[in-house]
Amino acid sequence: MTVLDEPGQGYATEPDLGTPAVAADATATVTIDGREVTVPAGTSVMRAAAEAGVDIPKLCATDSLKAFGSCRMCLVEVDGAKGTPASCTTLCSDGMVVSTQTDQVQRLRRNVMELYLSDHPADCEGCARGNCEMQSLAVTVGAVEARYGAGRTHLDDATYDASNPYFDYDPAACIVCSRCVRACGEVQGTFALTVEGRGFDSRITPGGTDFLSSECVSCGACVQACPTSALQEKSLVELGMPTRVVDTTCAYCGVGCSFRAEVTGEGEDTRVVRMMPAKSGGANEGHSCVKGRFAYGYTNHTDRQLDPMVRDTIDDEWRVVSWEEAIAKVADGFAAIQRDHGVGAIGGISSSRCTNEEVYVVQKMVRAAFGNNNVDTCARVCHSPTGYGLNQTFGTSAGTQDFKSVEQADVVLLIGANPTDAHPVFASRLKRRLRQGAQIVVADPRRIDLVHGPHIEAAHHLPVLPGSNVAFVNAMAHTVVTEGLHDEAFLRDRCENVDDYLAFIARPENSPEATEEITGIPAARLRDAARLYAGAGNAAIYYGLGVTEHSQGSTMVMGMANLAMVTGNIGREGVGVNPLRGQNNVQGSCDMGSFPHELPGYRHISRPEVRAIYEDLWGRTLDPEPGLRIPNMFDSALAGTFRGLYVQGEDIAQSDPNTQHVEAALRSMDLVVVQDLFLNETARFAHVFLPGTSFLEKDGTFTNAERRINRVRPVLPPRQGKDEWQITCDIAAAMGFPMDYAGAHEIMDEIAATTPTFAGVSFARLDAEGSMQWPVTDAAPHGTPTMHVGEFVRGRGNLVETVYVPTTERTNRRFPLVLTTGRILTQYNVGAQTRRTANQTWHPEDILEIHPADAQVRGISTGDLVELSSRVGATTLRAEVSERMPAGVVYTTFHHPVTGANVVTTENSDWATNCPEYKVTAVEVGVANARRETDAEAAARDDREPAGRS
Amino acid sequence: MSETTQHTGLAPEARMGNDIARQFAHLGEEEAVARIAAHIDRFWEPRMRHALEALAAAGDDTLDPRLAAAARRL
Amino acid sequence: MTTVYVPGDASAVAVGADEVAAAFAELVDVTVVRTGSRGLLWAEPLVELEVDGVRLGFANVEPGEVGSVLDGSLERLEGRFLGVVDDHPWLAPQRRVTAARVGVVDPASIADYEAHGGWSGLRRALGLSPAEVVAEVTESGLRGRGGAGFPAGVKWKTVLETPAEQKFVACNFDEGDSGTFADRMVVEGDPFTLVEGMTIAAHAVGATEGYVYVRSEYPHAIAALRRAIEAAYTHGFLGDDVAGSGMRFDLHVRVGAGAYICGEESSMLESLEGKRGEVRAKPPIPAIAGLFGQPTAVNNVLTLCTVPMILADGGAAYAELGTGRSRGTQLFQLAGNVARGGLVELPFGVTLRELLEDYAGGTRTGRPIRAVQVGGPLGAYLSPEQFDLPMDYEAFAEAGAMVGHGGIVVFDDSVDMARMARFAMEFCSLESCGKCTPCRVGSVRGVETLDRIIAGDDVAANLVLLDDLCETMTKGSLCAMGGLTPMPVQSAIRHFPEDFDRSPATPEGAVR
Repeated sequence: MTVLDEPGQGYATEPDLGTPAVAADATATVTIDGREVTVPAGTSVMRAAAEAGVDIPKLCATDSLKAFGSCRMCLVEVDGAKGTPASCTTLCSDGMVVSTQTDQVQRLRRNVMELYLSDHPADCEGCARGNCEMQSLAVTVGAVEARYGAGRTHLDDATYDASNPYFDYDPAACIVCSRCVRACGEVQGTFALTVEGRGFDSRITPGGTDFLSSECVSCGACVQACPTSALQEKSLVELGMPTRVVDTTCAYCGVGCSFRAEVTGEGEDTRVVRMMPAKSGGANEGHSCVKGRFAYGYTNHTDRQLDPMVRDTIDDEWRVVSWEEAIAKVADGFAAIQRDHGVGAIGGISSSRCTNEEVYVVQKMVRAAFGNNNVDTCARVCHSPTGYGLNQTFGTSAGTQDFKSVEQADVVLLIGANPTDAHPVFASRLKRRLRQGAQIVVADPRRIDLVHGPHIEAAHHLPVLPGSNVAFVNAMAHTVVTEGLHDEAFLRDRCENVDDYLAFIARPENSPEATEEITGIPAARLRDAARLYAGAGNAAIYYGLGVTEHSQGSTMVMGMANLAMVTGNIGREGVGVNPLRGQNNVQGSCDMGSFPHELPGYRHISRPEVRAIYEDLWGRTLDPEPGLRIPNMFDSALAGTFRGLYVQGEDIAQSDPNTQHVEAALRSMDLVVVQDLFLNETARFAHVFLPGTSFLEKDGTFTNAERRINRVRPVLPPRQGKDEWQITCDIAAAMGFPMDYAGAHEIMDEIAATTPTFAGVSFARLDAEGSMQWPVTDAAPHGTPTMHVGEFVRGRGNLVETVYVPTTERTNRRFPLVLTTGRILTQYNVGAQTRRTANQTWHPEDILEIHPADAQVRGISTGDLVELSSRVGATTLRAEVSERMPAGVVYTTFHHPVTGANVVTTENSDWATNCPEYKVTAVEVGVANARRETDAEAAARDDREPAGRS
Repeated sequence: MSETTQHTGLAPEARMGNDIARQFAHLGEEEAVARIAAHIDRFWEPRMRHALEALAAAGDDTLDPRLAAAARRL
Repeated sequence: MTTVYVPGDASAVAVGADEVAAAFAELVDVTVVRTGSRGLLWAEPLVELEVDGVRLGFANVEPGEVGSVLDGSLERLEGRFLGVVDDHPWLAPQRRVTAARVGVVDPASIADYEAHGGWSGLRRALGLSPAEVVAEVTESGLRGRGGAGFPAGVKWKTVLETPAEQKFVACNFDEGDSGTFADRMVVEGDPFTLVEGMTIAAHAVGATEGYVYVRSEYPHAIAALRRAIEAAYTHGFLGDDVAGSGMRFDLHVRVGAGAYICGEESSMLESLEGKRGEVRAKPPIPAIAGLFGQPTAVNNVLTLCTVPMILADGGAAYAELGTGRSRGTQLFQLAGNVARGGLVELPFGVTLRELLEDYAGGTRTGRPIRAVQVGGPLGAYLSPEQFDLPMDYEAFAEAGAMVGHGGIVVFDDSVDMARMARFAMEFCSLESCGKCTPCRVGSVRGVETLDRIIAGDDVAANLVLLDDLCETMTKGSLCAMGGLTPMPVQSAIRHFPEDFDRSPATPEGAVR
């Protein structure tokens, strides 16, 4: 991996070698224009030439797509072969001698280009803009005029399509190279684009409609692939060509895509022209989704708060103050609370959207300056069971593989995750593998897109009833073990507690037959699925919040780890247990010691030798007892013993369960400090508002779901004038504990110096390597893509007896339905970012999905306003009657505060980690006459226009 | 910590403690109590442990008996 | 009881054969057997009356004449009685191998098929190893009859030797060349031969599934083939246990949707996969990565229908026929402006002149032949000076022409060859899949440039431009469609330059 541009070093695109890299042990040595080059067998002549520094003209070829051979610009001559083969589709064979610049091929290229130009607008705007491969190539091959004179063109019936909010389609500039069509299929896997008509009448179309009405998911792969200006970002039309590039990392989901921010202007006048996914990015390898590529406009939204603000009570108006005054108010306020109510009466919450460095200083401030361990992070409400479960079984709180590993998987067991919406770039990689023939078993109550889609058909869809995951995974393992499909050698060599576990799992109550009623899955189908998983050469488990956000979330994580161990599917490529992390830096925020019981690197606070490392460095004595978790903070606040809270970049009032409870807790506190981009829901209860920075302004690192530490580089200076880590340090200093860093890189240096798994990490190393996956140690200086190879981190893998304990949240006559929640592609979490972009076009409100049978008995039709009520609260939203849901289960997203889906969710939580049980709430649904008043208030507050682009 | 806006009506420590206790219901009394106590020791903030101890000492009947036993062992 | 044979071939049906058959069927003591056509299309409906085990032929029979056929009165009419059909001078000199049973047997009768030697090739093949079958086909010298003339044995060997869990055989029955109909006639008249040939091919290459890709314009052939496949399943010649050998082979029919380009093998495979009929870049060749990416033997109908004979009689017997590297027979189709159109199967080496004079009998208009296009719409136009060319892949290639699928279209001296050249470009522009630029854009520019030439507009410059375009299409196109379109254009310019030497159409009518 290479860093192609140092930040601010001018504009250049990543090299395009024309055809994809080939992995092969055998090689071929060829001579191209006199230069000898050795490439993996199966490499195209075009790519070999590019590697040898010979540039062969091309239009339909690009190295993200399979060779297509349609443009005929890349014709070459091969000694001993007749004709003029296309170099993109001709594979190198040993001893081949290729000439790329003979008179004949030059003449052919010129004449082919002449044909292109004969059907291209004379006044093409793309040419004027300078963003057209064809224009440059025409000059290169010396075709300047078309001799054909006036003739038929495709221009007359070319209708400009500006329907997509982010890019335009101008068919006039189209050369029908099919790169967009192929990108949509091969890269994204959506197959929304096609070629209509044949011959000269061939036209690219998103299925005979406009882009917005089509099946297009707006990932932008087509725009990226287009060699002309036929598909063009609106931002580029508006701002012109970029002048320089900054390599950075997306701040949406846990995939952690690498982007090249292509910008124009300098300093505060810097404008982002477009976000171009980096081919060198380990997580995304040149792909993106609609959020990462396009939805960055929120950074410039008028809602963005750029000034520190304070108020005495939450009923007062905000007052803009200086940084100094705001920070003094925070420090003084916290000190006063500690004086009156004890050291433990305050705490902090760090954000999984912030950098490792920003998070690290929060926990440092809490532990050293506050003098307690009341620090937690929003991972509490998403993947805390992952940390617990994988630590118990494997010895490390992280997924086992890199994303690329899925390319080696033969069977994928997907549980409680919806990657095409929530982790789209990983989903594209997964879909590509499925199209190659791998099989997928989807265990999810909802019929997600991976159950059935273009060229995708799940081997099994197992609609596991919400709350029954543990029974399900036990039945899977029971089938494997009792049918003798387990990997005895792996268990004996690598695991412990084997006999007890085998005896436990073989018990009849764990059989598919016994659990059928609990899980809702017919025993025979479950057995088939288990056999498929156990019989695969490589079987991999991927899972999401549908696993963790249950009262037995931690048990389920351990259950999946058990299943992987009994089948020997751990410790090599293509297998593993892989959490799909919700936020960009969930992994990192957990790694950084954000949990109240753990110091960075998942080391328990009770361990004196670990505390000593920090005590020596920081010069403070650390509390050896665990601190409060987020829900404990709320409980304690209501009890009056917890009175001050610093919240970094998390909207707990919207995202945490049982809103009424959370709001009461916040209301009861003396000092709530919110550090965020926007005046979010939580800020309604805050006394101090500290403006934060967007990812485009940050300098630091994010760690994605595959433990990959990616650099985040500042594209713009902090718009509010201060780095976020500096704000935290300023508070600590004002409280008498100076935390001095010359820059974010020094924070990482401290992390590396104190955390063994980060020992080899520094900004300089990351800049050199592109990215690294922890552990980065002397033994693994370039990082560790696959964990537990040969031996588990904890030594032997621990098989845990995962008894199924049902949730206490039960349906009854009053609340007969189960509500479960999820995400949609274009929105992200509580929507603070995406609602302030044109992504609102697709999903302007949360929708309740309800099965036709459930809808019919309640008289509900699609589009009706319905009231959704649970034991703790009620809200209103619109219904969509849908067979995606099984009868008895309803579903909604939680992106919009107006809906306030968490008004209805309960305080039930995972037994081990208190991760909320968002996925199981007993509810009733009925037709509503009007939105509830509280919702209307929220709607009024939220009555904001979508953002313009930055 | 008594007042609650939570639907179970239990004190938070009772609710969370009972959740833990239920996970170990399949074990023998002795091992279950030990595992419950160990978990709470490892993850609970001292004030919460004390609150639980207080509930147990007061003979709060909302506590799972094994949780109560574990609380007395913290 | 009298037996009469009335062709059910589409070419006979088109001129009233169904009505003739119906008229016979109304008579008592007459059994009507519907056969394929003997290939004497000029004589259809050609009714055969069986007398003492010999079949006597009657040409151009109309429904009202069925009585005359039976009572012998038609025998007296000039040109209507053909005598013993097998001995007819148009048929007797032919060497029917591939089409041996066509017009003779009842295509709906699997028993009739077996009685006429059917399944003997398959039975022999099943006793041989796949490699031995491939060797037999290689020895026969059989080359692809779709037009490219690639050795069938070599192709099969590649498929056989490419390891894969699933292999396919695919039959290209998208017969779209102008002036061709041999595939259709063979399948309509003897569909079991195709079933048998594909089953042998499947055994030879290790395929368990086969597809016939047939154009929708051939409803009679589709019906005949489906009927034959169903009967073959019923009688155990298809399915899990082919002819009791334990071999599994399933055969499916897929109907195209009217695109000429789907006769190009890679487009056909795309279409079979349910995708847009668009040419694939090669490599990989279909023999290595064909249908659904699996090794696939793609062969034309005639190639596959020749295989049963080769296996039954041995590759050496077939190889004895023909000339040079063109072994065996070809089914020539005489069409266009001919006196006697139809199907003529003869060993390679026969000259074009023999076919035009002895069989076609000159033009239907009676005017002299000026040009002949051989090998479909992408084949070269030949002038009378070239009529002594032997029908031979290499000899034709050397002359800048191609045998192709054996279609021969004749034009008399009223033809305007500049317009024929324009037609070639127009055909390409209408049928291009649109994938590669030389074909997609080039064919349209070709039409426009020829229009300018025909209009006498800057002829010299436009001929240079046309020449450049032809080179670009020939060398630059992705497949043979764009690559061969210049062949008729340039052959027309070469052999009939006078038709391109135009003056501008000016009011003065200026003469050069």
